[in-house]
Amino acid sequence: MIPDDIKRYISDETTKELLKHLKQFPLDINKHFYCNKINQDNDIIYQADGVDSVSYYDSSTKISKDIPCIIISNTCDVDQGNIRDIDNHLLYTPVFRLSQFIEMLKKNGLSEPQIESKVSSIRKQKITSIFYLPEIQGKIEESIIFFDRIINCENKIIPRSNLNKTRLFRLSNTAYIMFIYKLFIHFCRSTIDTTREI
Amino acid sequence: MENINLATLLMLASTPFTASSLNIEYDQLPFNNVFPEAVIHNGTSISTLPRDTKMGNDLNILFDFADKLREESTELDGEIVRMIDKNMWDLI
Repeated sequence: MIPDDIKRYISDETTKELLKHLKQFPLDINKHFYCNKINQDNDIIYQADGVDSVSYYDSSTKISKDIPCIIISNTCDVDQGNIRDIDNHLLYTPVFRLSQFIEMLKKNGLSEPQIESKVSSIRKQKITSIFYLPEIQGKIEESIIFFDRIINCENKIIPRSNLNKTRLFRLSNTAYIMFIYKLFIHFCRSTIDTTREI
Repeated sequence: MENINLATLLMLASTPFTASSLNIEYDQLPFNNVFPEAVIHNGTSISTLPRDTKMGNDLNILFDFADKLREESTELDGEIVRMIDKNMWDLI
């Protein structure tokens, strides 16, 4: 007998679709990448939501700008409806344009085949530290995020009142599962043969 | 058994460990109450649940997906990382 909390994940129609898409991966995954209705739960930031105009500080250039970012924090951790003794900070990382990334590789002398190979790996989600975001026409270009460029801010810094204007995208179930898999693999991939002797 | 959810499955699916390599008793595995015959029958690996049941099939899709992502992953060259550091703001 399958308990109810398992059924919720394994048995409903949404999950059937999810499993179908995961089984097909990497084929057709980009067709099912984003939610069409991004402003449901309007005042809640979901994990992996894209949000525009978030202040980002770059330690290399020591410059801060308001830019599009993707939220790394767990949805519940930064839900302002959850009252906590200590407020969690919000973790996020910038959204970079893939076209500009390609341009940078060209300027730095990489050959066409080298660039093609890199970009193909990125689009197939094969680079551990990168999550690839397909284009949303009229909203975002093909983009990439880096899991090693995450920073944090106070949760209240991102106003929930105008999320209907600043939210850029929300990942579909399939893309979100891929996002947390990649997040997990990036941070928690273990090497069994690493010795940690006391 | 209260806490098993997709996140737990993902965590298990994303690790290279098997029950035997971690020396876990089978009754500690989250699947045990759900699918005891599978875990006990297969013995050593939680990633080899039988595919001839819906549950085994569903879980194996998750495991296969995790395997594809994990096994095919590569790292970005250090040279490119340094380029990004220099050109960070041009990429936005």
